[in-house]
Amino acid sequence: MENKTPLIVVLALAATSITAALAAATPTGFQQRKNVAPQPPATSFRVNIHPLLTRHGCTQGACHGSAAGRGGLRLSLLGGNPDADFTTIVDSANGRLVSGATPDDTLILKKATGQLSHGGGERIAIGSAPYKTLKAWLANDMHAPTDADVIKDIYVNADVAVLKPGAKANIRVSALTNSGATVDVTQNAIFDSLDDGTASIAATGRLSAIRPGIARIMVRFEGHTKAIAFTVPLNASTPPLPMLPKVGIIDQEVGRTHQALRAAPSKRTSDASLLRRIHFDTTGIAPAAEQENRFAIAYSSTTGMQRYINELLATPDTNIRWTRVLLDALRVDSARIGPDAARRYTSFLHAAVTADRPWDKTVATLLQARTAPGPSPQAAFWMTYRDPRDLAEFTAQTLFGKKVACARCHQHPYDKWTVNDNVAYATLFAGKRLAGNTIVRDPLSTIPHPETGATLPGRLLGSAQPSPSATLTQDVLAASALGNRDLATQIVNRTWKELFGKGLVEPIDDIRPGNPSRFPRLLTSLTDAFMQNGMRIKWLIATILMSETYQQQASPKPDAFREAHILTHARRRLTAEMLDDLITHTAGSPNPAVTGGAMRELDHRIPNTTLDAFDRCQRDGRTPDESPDGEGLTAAIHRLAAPEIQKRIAAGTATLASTSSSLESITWQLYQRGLTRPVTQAEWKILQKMQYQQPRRQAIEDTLWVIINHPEFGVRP
Amino acid sequence: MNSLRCDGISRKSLLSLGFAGALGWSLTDIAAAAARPTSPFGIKPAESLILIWLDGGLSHIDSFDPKPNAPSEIRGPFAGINTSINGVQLSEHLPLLAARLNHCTLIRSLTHELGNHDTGGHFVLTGHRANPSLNPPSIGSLIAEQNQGRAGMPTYSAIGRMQDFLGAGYLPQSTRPFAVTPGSSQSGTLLGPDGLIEDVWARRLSTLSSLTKLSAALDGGVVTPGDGATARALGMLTSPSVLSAFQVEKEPGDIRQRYGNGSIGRNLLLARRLTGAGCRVVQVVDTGYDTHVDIHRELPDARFPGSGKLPGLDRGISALLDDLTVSGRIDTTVVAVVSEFGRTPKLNASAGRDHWPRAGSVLLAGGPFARGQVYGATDARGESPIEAAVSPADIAATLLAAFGIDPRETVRTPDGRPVQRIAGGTVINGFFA
Repeated sequence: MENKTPLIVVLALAATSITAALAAATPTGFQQRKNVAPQPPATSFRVNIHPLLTRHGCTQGACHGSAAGRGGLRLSLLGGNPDADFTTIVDSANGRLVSGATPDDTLILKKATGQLSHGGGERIAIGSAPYKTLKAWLANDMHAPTDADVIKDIYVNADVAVLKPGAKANIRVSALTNSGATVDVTQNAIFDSLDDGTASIAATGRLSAIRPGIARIMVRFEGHTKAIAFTVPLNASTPPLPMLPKVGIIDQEVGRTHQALRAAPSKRTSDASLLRRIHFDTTGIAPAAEQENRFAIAYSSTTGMQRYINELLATPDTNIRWTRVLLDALRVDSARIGPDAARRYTSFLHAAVTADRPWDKTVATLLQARTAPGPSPQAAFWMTYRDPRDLAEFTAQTLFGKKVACARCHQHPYDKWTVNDNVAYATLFAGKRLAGNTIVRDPLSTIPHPETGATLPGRLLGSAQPSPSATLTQDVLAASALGNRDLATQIVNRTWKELFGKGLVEPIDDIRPGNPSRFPRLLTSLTDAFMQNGMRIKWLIATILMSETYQQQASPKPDAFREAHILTHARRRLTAEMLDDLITHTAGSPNPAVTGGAMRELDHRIPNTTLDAFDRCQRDGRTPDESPDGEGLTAAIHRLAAPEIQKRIAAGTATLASTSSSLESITWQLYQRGLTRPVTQAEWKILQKMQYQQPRRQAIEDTLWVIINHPEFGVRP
Repeated sequence: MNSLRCDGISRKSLLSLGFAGALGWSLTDIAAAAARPTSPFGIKPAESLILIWLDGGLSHIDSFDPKPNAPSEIRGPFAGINTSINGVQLSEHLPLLAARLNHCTLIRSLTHELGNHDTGGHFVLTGHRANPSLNPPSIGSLIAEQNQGRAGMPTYSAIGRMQDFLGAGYLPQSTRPFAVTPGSSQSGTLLGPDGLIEDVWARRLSTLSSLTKLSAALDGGVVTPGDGATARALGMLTSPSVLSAFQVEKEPGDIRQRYGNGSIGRNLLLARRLTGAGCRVVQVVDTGYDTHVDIHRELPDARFPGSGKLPGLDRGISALLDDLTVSGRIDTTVVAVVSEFGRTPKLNASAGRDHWPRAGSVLLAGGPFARGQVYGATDARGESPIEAAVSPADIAATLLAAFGIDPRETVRTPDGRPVQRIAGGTVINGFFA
């Protein structure tokens, strides 16, 4: 340190060229930085200088932020570490970057302005505002970052919140420092439009509305990320539509958004579609024939509907289907954790779903270490990943919606998690170890910091304090789940996606200020209500199913505005298991590998060509694309022509042909089974033409084939 | 007409029913060959890839990198034999390949540090080490993204067991491989038990087409006709040339004999047919190379001389190279033989070998790759490369380069993260002719 300090000079006093300054590496005649009387800095490194470098791209991965740096200068990736960057700029290579006869002669300004050869070209124009700021800092003794100017938070404001297409708005960003000062930092904030088509944003923070919708702008400044939303109404001059008649939490919040947008909600879907939707969403299987009439009666009154839904939610099929949702999310894989552990884990989750156990208690059980020997569901959870870092990152993301995996290597530019956060959280998981089928405490196990190699005390995400003591590590994680709001928000969002085809936040497990919902109040209110009702998933499903919003029809055709802003259903493909069971239900001939039903086979490793072809969830964190266009070629060909399916069609045909029912009645029956609706007159004419003069058996087989390949067959409306 | 099989089906008759048109399928779409990218690597880009994945980890010492002069616990049970490249030996169980080695580039210096099947396989097949925050695409998907299958063929097909890491990763799902069921039901998958009977299909397809149009008008409609996999699937199912490509049975008996009766021979013959018909990438998975026990009984099957893993592979790849050479397709078709890792140089107590990522071999042939060279070498004990070490990322980068695709180009994942197609891999110009 000692031989470096003298080189940090007040450049305004140095009347030599850069080379001369480097040659004259002697303190003689130079005022040393440490001798300068402390004065309130006109330009603060944290508030003015460091963000300026990030804003002008210096810290990008392709530039000086790359792991190896560029042109001999390495800064922290996307400006994640201001203190290290200060040291690098001021001290590295004997202060070569900031030495010069005058600030204008320093390498940093010569390079940034492109006067000297610079791989990044001209980033800052000579004489521009950022140039003057940098120059002032260089001239004014290059104030180091202090604790007082650490940025505690940022605030984002705009002059208007509702705009017509073509109109502009100005976003202002201010930073609150530790010293309590609030500074306007708009100039160096970074803006991104999360809805490019709805509004664009200039680097200056000036927003231009493009077309109707809700435009979310993400604002970043020195590791802080905030978002601000603007409404661009469909037609600002029309009066807002009246609110929906039913005013549960969901419809109220959705109605508010629709009012702001001056947009009409979608129409209620047909009874037949709603019946199909409700049954697949709750039970994963098609409604039995007699359900149609029961549903028609129930649907005429709110209490009738409530009773109908509650009865459905109490069926074994619902318990199976929602256990499956958890198995897929938690990546329960018999090949990885062994069939016995998988069975125990599955029964535990099935029991939790059946009893509608509070979700936070279920998760707390999983996270709770048990020192007593013997198999337990927890052991299976701890086997999901052997590396504590993997398990910590999986837990944070899947259960709490916090994506900390990026921070294993570097701070993600849009998120707040640091490498320290990642290491400290993973340390909590390292405190437990699997021995046989039991988890044991292992307080000595630690996670080294990837850069420094240092170990850190275990600490929960978002908590400033280390966990009370190493010996208590095993309880900290479990306790953190109880009443945890992030846990609640995450399961609400996941459940919403299961029922609507799209989460209120997407991706569903990446919930952070920079990735806001278009319906932030809805997610907040629904999470509040979920927590007040004991974090019971079935309560949540019933609440959503009873809303008018749930009962509306999916967008008639691809319509980006309605899909994004009106919160309509997205049509979804049936999952592989649902599709297989629907073929069984329609043809009356089961898949021989899963004769009890594909939904009921909770081990996804049971070998079966049909379920593979239909793209079953592999429980590896990736969900198959459920949009109607997401069907793969393999699945389509399998349904159209695979011998496995053709055999089941033939077997079903044989049974139907042997009955005394008329061809017409069989056709109607098959429509009801496969498509959950009657045949229309126009369709009946087309089908009659196909069946005309064919042998009975051939006519039935053709009809069954057509229904199984009908575009509505593989879809939840 | 009633019993006319698929190969006699008249495309015109189906088209005249208006079905294909209604589903948005047209001859021009599928017949249009994609323009070839110009290569930034000074080579003529290849057009198709047959990637042979030897699942389990091929023992390098017992196949491509024999050590005949090493002590017996390293040398193992097999002798080396001379090849068509002077001074280079292969295992005695690869005699046909030995005679054809002068058509290949053999890399003996693959090395990495990932000794698990999943992590090692992930690295080799994607060029990326497994990383929880990035889901990289397979090499096949990266090539499929830049190319289109021709004449209605799927761009990327995978024959054999589907691996998790064969997928599209962060690329669009359309670059996923089309899974061809292994074994004898391949053609069955496409044809149904009785083949396509023209009048039955015509009747069903025209009905389905009319019902699809009506469905679009119901309660908001369901799917837009012309989209999606069903239309593409029907495009394949109603194309005699596509259907025919999947029928290995169409090959004369002597040709099938040359490829061998085992699944690897049959699958390589299918791969040749599929790439010939317009598939860009065919991945063939052959399992059974995880030879922890009794190498001498596993790699060649001791009970049936001339059978087993290595003889099957030897026969299949040799027949494939011969056919590609005769047809001239060898100049545009790359054949790559890869595996997770090599195996321990020292035999274990069970006369097998365990995982050994420090050394492994890769065989490349066709396309721009040099004919008749050995690249890199391991030490006398086969433990580590002693020269020109290459990583799985280098192999992946070089394979992309062979298709005119820049492996270092930065692309964006759907969530906006900039990534290089193959980070940290270098195109090895020394592989090229």
